[in-house]
Amino acid sequence: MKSSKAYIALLVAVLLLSLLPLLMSSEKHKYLYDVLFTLNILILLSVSWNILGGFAGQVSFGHAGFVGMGAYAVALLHHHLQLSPWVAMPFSGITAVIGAMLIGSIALNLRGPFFALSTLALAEVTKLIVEGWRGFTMGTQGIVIAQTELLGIKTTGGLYFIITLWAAGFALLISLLIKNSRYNYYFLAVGENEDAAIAVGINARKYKLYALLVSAFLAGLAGGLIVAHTGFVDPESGFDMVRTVEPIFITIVGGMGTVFGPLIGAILLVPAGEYLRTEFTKAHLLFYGVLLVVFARFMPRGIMGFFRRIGK
Amino acid sequence: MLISIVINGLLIGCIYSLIAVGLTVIFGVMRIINMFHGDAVMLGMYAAYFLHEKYGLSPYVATIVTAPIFLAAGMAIYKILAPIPPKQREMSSLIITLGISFVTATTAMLLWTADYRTVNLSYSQEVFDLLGTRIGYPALISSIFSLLLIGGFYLFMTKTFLGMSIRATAIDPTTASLYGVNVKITSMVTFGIGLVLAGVAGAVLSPIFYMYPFVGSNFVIKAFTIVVLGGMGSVTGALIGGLLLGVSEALASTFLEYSMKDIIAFLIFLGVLIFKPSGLLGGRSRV
Repeated sequence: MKSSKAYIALLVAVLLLSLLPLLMSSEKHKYLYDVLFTLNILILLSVSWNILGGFAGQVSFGHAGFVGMGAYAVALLHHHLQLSPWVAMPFSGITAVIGAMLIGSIALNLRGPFFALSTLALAEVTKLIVEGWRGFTMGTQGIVIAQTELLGIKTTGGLYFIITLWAAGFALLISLLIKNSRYNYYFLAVGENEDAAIAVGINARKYKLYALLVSAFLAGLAGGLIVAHTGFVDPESGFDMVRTVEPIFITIVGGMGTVFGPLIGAILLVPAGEYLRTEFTKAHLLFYGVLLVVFARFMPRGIMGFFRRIGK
Repeated sequence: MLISIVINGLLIGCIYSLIAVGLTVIFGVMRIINMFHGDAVMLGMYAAYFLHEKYGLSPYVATIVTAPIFLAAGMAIYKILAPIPPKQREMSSLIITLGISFVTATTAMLLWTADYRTVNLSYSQEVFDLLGTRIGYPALISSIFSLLLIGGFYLFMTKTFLGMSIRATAIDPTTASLYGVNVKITSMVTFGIGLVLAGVAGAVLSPIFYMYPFVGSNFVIKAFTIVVLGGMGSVTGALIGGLLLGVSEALASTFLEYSMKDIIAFLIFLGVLIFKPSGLLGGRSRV
């Protein structure tokens, strides 16, 4: 697809889908909108993970940390300053970016699997700090957020769907912009072979940091949206490791390093996963995990790579 | 007071070392980071639990029954990972073993529920007095058992042909194959042995620790900490690293808040990777 066409397609799709709540009331289809909310959030998270892991080749095991930071930013601003979650929403991304700068200052010194493991460790450390700092974060007790109106409109499933749809669309737009810019080539070079990239004069650390910050912003935003939707956060749910592994599973099945791979992966996996989840808690992880192993082993380029090969 | 904290830390450290030894040989030979390792520990714990419940087998005896199963499982996982081209192997194996880990833990939850369990032995409540420290018998036996196994494994690595083949492959697979080492079979057996050690460590932990399906993630991060602390691929390093981690955790949980016990492994892990990536022994140790 030519790049200008892709932008238009994305815009049209988001606008058309925004009409869905007019056709189907969120009172009647409550469960459907819950699934769609999860789908949008997972598109957002997978696109975020893919920018760092797929474009820049830095596999992160610590995205749950950014999600948790975003969730706690919104929850704490509400708890201490009585800010509406919607007013506080931008701070979810910003907080995750600040957190990512700190995390990056340590993790970006390491490469490959050690980068991955250090982001995992840093996410866990962040969680344990939030858990231990009871006076400020309420510790394991968690924080409850009252559901509030947005510009006078009652926040229903339909509204959450539209907001998260736009957030997911925004993430895809960022992803497209990066893919069509010169940054894509820097990211590719650094991801393929960092030493070679440095040798030709690319400031590898700088570009890895850029990818990390963009990725963290989107993951933090996802955290903020999750906490506004569920109305509660505690360290266990906010920093849930599942938020790290689901985007990895989805992105690899869809196609790592492509713009629309995470989207396709999420659309294919999430509805089935959500169905399994109603049968048995965490059963969807079994399904995702099996697909991940099969794809990573036999089709490492995912569904997008498969189509591309057929197209040739 | 201080002595008893250190003794308790050393005891649990021995078992941590046993988990880490398996991880470190797998990494040393194949450059594979095995995210499944913690789940092998978890499976070892459940196997010991069920063999004890159904047949009254002691967890220490049960290891003889489970070892061949872990050996086979490890070789099977190696078969999945082996065909990946060496350039991609580090990252692909990290992600694939993460997938296997989640599949295993979730399956365990579907089969055995998320309930906490532990193996209750007839002597679970009896204590032993060592330098004024009261130690439970299971903890003492498990630690000695772990130490003996690590010692035995050290001898295996230094004295037997297979052990020397494993070390030769770790240093340089190409040269090793020139000297008649079958690198493929050696790597496969190494993966199997690594998982056997993890499974045995699980059995040994079962009377002391609670088990639940996702318990493996706790152990895997501890094992990684020990491996980077002791130097990757080093058995003696893993022993020293395990003892250090055990003592640090015991000290942290006594003098700091109890929740700090978990943070300490992560901090050591990050600290070593940043300041001394070759490990405390400086990568000099070959075994």
